Amino acid sequence: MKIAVEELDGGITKVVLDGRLDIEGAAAVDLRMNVVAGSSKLLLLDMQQVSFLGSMGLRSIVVPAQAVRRRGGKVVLFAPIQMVEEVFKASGIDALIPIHHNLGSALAALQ
Amino acid sequence: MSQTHAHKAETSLTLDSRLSSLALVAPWLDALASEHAFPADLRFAIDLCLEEALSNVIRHGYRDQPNHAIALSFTSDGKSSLSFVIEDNAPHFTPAEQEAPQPIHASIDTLQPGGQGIRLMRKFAGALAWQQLPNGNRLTITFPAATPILD
Repeated sequence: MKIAVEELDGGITKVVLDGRLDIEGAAAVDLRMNVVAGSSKLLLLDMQQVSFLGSMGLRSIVVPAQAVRRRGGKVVLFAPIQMVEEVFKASGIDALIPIHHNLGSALAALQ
Repeated sequence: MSQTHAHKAETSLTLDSRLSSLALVAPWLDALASEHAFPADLRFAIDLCLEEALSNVIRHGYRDQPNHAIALSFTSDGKSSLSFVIEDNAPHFTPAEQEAPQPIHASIDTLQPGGQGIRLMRKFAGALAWQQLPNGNRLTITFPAATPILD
């Protein structure tokens, strides 16, 4: 599991996740995710390269998202593959962290 | 099978009760997926259900104590469905007791990130059946074969 962090214009932090967000993958990104969540107010989570998502992986997304929201920030999920999106929907998380498949609309949602 | 295989995929796998042993599941599943031509979505659903079920056994059944066995096996009727059976020697598990009603999440701040495992399994599996064994539990997870298994 790989994670890359990029600062975009407008104070937006883009986090690119790449690989399997299973138990092992979740453990691999948790620390970095929490560090990013502690400093970013506008977070775009790029899910395009995430090929698997389980409940521990959901936790790795929800906990940092809660931290950002608590500080008045915003979080969006960008372009998960269909089955990963199904996991977000099955857990009801899509109603709380919006999913966008268009980068422009994802960025606009963070403004 | 028209092709000659040096090895048929193993239909069973024994795991130790530690989360790191879950790394053995993916290559085992890869071999089965290849032999039985699982479509990608089915492969994802199996992967998800096995991770949730096995991690539940390790974390809740065995309370993260290593050195207990978990037996995983695969069966297929060759056509309409396939099943994965997980047997453990952990204290009896009754899913209804474990399954607190999921609240409607009004806000991300009240969302409990844990406890999604069984919910996800119910969504992605065709059927789940828990059975109490004399000294453990058996969970049978059945999936409809989305496409006929070729052969």
